[in-house]
Amino acid sequence: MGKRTIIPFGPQHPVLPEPIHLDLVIEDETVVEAIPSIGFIHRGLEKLVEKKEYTEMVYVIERICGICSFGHGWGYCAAVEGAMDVKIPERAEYLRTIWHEMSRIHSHLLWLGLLADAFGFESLFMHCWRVRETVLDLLEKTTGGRVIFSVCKVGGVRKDIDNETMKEIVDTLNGLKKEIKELTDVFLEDRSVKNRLCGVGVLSKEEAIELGTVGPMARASGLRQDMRLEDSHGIYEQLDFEPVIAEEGDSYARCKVRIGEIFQSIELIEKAAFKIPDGPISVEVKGNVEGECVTRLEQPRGEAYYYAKGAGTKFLERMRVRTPTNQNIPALVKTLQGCDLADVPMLVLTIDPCISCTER
Amino acid sequence: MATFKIGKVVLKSLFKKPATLMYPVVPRQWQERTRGHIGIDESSCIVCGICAKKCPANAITVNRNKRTWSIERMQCIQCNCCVEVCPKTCLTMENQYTEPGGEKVVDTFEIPKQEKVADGGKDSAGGGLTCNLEDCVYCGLCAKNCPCDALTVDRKEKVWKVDESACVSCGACVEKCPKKCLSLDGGEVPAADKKQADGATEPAYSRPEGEDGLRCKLSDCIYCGLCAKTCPCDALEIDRKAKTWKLNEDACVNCGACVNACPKECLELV
Repeated sequence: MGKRTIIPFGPQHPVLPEPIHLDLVIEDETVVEAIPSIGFIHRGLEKLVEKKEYTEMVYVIERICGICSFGHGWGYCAAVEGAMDVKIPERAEYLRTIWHEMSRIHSHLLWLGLLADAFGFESLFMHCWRVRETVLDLLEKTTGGRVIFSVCKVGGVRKDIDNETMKEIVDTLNGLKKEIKELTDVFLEDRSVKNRLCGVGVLSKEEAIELGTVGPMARASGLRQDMRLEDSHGIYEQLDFEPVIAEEGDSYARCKVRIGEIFQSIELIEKAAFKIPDGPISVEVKGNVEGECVTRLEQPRGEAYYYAKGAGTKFLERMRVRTPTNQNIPALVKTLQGCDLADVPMLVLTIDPCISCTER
Repeated sequence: MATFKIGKVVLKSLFKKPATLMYPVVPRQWQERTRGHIGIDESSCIVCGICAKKCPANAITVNRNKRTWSIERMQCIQCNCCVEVCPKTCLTMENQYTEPGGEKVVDTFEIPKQEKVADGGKDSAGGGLTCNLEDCVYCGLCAKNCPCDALTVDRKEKVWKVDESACVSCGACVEKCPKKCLSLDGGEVPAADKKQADGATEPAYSRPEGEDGLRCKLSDCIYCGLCAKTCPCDALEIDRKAKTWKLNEDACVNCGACVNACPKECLELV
């Protein structure tokens, strides 16, 4: 048995887009234990509900995170609409679904790039982000923003997509499939990449259940858990799809699941664009929030949970967001046990950490 | 297992143009919907201040006395909220970003005085705002939604009154009226014009010029009591009914909190 050493990892580290701190207890080159700590970017956004009107709060909630901004806006609006018993038009649900799936594509492409960066494949990283740019352009064209879309509001959406643009979205995304395939083949087939990913950070199905893992992380361990099918938000029931699942539970499986989801999202957008009905895109919402509601949403990183409670004033009494990264940190700590020190940056990335979401 | 799978992509990109643009030599292509920055058409602005009230980031300041509309560019989050609430649609979302700056800029626009559109010949009040009193239920929604507090509604006494000098004819009340008994038809007479027309009477202050300390421009004061609520030393006493504004000079520490709180900007610290 070698001598134990503690190596601090983060909060500032080249591989980390956001600050999380890990105390890595290592023996020789092997990590024995990892102790995580967060709390570097807490902004107290939940408390702001007491000062911002519930309609204005959407803009704050969207800014919880830059990558899943649409998901946060949607989750909040759905929770408030649920508490107020507002039924939004079907077209609005379709539009929300389309934008949400587009966010998923760009989030997963971003993650693939970051993963390539983590195992030191810089040109692959750049190419992933180049492809992602096309999706961001489509989002800017339809919503007006590249990162913060500001299209979700309580009672529906604020902007419509006309048929011509809808066709363009579908055509562009279908055209992108070939380019994405070329890049994802590198992740799935290249020898050097596979050497880094296969068998690293294995999380078994039982462990995934026990540790409350969510999202692609859980699906890579063989759990069939997808909020798009389990919670009745959006129009996912009408789109008829099966979640992407892998059995291995290692880093390679997590990569495979996310790659599968990119192509699945393109298909879902195509199906939704084909089925979208005509009609209004929002309903007028009157009065204040009275009552409470919980919604769950499948964000690119996994299940997010929203709780809104109002007491009849224009300010909400309580708002709570539980984000997927929060749920995946225990699994991260588990997978880090027994891994090589050199694999730590990559394993931290495989949970797709979003610390600003976690801390809000 | 394949080796060098990325070779094809790399080779292809060798013979392609770079994916990035040579900014700023090659300008960025803006989308039609891009939320770049807020623009204002000064000629149709009525300085009602609804945009400033609704701005979630508090980036907009509207000064009705000086007739200025200003926006803190760094504060603005381009949410499009003000554009949606503007009753005169004089705000627009331009699709270009503002020039990158090294410091926080506040852009101030002077709002020109608007010309009287018509005299109308009506004895209705406030820039042509009329109320069909037969339909009116005195619910007070109009007064609640007035950005300038120009309306007084008393349900018991059945009184509906509009303060001509305060009304800016924004139409917010007309929209909110559940009985649709309000109408804006007598042409637009902005408040500042009215005041000018009444003759340039000296504004009445709570104390003469020259003396140091806090003073209130009583001619503009609406006795809302916000200053008294904000005062950390309880030095102010406001009686809305008796229309009195009293300052306990011994208690006042000249902190200026009330000056910032005053919705009418009638307080000043000399």
